[in-house]
Amino acid sequence: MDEIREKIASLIKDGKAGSVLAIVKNGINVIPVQITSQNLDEVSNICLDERRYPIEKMLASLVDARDDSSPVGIVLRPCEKAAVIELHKLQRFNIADLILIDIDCSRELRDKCACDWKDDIAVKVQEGKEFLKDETLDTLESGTSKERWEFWSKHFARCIKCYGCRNVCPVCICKACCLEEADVVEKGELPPEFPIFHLARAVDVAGRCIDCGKCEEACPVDIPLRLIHKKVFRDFIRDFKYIPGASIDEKCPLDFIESIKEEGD
Amino acid sequence: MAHVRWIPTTCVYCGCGCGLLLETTGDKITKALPQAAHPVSDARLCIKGWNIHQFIHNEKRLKKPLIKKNGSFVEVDWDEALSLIAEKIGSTIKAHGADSTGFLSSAKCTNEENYLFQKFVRSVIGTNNVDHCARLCHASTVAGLAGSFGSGAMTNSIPDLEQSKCLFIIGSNTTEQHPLVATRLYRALKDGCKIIVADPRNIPISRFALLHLKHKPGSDIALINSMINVILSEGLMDSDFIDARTEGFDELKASVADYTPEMAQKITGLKKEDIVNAAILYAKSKPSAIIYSMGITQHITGTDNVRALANLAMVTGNIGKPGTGVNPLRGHQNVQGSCDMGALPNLLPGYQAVTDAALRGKFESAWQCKIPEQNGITLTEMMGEAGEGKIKSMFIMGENPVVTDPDSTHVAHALKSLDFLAVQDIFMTETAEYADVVLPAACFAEKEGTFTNTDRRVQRVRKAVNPPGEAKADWEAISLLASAFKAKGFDFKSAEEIFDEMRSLTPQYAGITYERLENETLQWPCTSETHKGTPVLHLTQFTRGKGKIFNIAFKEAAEQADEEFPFILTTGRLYFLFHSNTMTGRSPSLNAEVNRAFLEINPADAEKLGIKNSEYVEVESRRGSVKVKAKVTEGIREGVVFMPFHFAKEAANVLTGRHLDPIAKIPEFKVSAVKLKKV
Repeated sequence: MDEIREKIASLIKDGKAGSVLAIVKNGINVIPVQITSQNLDEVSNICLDERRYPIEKMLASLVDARDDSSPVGIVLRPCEKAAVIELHKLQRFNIADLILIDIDCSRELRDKCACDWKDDIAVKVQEGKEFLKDETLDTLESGTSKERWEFWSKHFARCIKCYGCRNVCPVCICKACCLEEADVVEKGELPPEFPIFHLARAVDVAGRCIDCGKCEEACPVDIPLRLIHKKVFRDFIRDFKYIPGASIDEKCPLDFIESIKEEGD
Repeated sequence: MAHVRWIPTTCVYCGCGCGLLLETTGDKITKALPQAAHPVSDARLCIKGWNIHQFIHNEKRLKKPLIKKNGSFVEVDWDEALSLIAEKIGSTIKAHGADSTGFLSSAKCTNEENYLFQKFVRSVIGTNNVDHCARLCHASTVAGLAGSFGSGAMTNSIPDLEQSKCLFIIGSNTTEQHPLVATRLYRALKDGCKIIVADPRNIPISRFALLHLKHKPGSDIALINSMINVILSEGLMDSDFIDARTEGFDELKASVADYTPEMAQKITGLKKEDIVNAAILYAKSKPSAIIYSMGITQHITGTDNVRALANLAMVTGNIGKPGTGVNPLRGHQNVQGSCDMGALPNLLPGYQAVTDAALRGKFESAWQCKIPEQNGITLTEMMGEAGEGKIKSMFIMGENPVVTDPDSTHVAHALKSLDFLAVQDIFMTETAEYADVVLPAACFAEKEGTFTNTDRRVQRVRKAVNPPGEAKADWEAISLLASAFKAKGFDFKSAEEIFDEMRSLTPQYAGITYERLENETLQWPCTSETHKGTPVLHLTQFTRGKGKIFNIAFKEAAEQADEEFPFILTTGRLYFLFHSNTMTGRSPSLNAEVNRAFLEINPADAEKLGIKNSEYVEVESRRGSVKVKAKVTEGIREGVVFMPFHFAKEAANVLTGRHLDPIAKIPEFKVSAVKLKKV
């Protein structure tokens, strides 16, 4: 951690980064801070906490607020780096404007998250190794559709429509969201309509969801949301031979708009 | 480069006390998100929290003090507005005495502001006529639990509810009104906890309940006493606990003998088997916790309802341990704090009685003043006396009684009858419209301070941006007002200075400092700077010594369904909105979810009246009538209808009455007789 702190301090001191976004711990408050030459002493408070923030979206706010072209640095966990790659591909910002500072999660957190980003999913896929293993998902998939329906309707009956899953999702960046359209989901009802409210999002982020599980962490009623996204992520890799978040250069098979544009050129 | 900051603070909506981050670019708050690793909210929020930034920069925010001249408001400077308030209230005092004035503090304001407000009223104005909206929500809890246990607050902590094996949720729509408390209930459920819901409506958590008792509004005591009756006759009481920790059990034993399940069945409209099963489930699955809210408190028997629940917990020994307790969920984010701060007509800060000469003397010497010896009058009494011309001048800080108090037509009459009214708020509310002077206030994101949530947790509120225009934090406005009255002792430079004065006089807060709050989460009582705070109350003994078991008799609600008014109207909040909708109504994402009132009615009742879903119904009580769309739903008991009270138009409180609990003076919002007519 000290190495990272020194690196960030020198990036700012040497003028290589205009600012760096990192999580700091001040007393009981674990908060994101934009570190610049003005508040460089915050560097000593940089921490790695169990709880994750939607730091990719915070990065987007920093890039938007920037009034010069100085690069923005950011401290990223492996899953967050994958999300930043997706956001670059979605043209939310340009990765060339960023300085990515890698940080590893604690072993406990990696185990808790059953994280596959730590060992590079791409390598696992290439070598034909098992990836994104999940017993609950396997059991569900081997069950009947009635069982699956019951499983999910029970969980989603707790939903309080906070939109937290969408709000923290690093790749949910549409300006207008279909979940807020009265024609798609009836307004003012609790729980929201099942399954449209929840499945619309799962389908929408297919091809860019990187299975970080922040949606599940943000759920006030502990709905196992990551299971849905893991299912989509796993199937996507299998069927399209494409790993969202793994590479800057590889194009998403669903990115047909970009392809059409290129053909037009 | 515009600096982006994330300011940690505490949510301003409900009593959960969730930890927020306000994302701020320059002087604009652009987003709200949950704080990681927060002891209550643990990186989650409800929809109101996520959208809390949306009202802050609304263009309708009050920016200048206003004085009403010839019927319309004119912008003036602070000096002119404050001088006018001092002059008008001063002349009321001169002509009719200090007790002809009334002051409403606010559960939306900080602890510091509530402390300063009541200090101003008591020491400068010279009356104890200070109260706030706790009168409308948990006055019966404050009185009831203080009587039973010696402390009128939630006995346990939000996190420890996860350990319960049985949750008895009565009159609390926890999922909608305290979503981040519901988180813990659902976690308990996952670990095998059994849930009993007692509520006349289907609520989100009732579908997970083993038993849903849809009892008649106002029949709570019959239900609770009958549960105790069953527990005693089945031998399921905790005799060791009763002997060692309580008094009054023998009288209770005799008095509940009449409340057989057969008898309670008649009053509650429940099946007697369900009452028996609920009693056995609650008594056998230890630890069991009771969770309650307005469904218990807002009755003419509110105080008795609360004490009956305390009895139930005591006879089964379900108190003073994690996962147990009598847990009132407080409505506002700081209604616990504003009670703690003595914004009550009978209590000084820290629940120290006004009528106790020694306690009063402590404050008198600290404040260098004389405090009136008699209790002041309550909010509900103030409105009554204003209507009768006895209260001549009022000052209302951050409350909107025109929408939230019972019998709105009467409230409007009362406010119009005043010689002078000053209102301090963040928007031009329905109440401020009646004012002679309106002061612009800073909102929670524009000032420093503390809030105390429902589990007695004192948490920091931090300034993220400047207030709009000339708006000021309420504590600054009170300080200035005090100097307009030429008073000393209000010359505070910061909220922290006020907090430090307060804690020197308030034993429960004595050990809490701003510095400690940077490093610890503290729940009162916290009596010294080395005290770690108190997550669970009454561990080895009750605050009052022995727990007092009260003898509680069932009494009917003030209004009953009859031939002329055959339905019972019950009112409440919706998940998406908050109270008088001053803030949520100006938050586009929330307003888009719900922006109209409705009347929930059972299909059988709707059919009899020929009312179809979404058709307009005229709802009429003895006070007034409103037209509103019907929402036909199996979710509500036959004979009972429900309306949310958020809306100034289609106002539920036009219908509700001013029947008060004799001890707590809380109105019976939950039972009004109404008739319905298809429009």
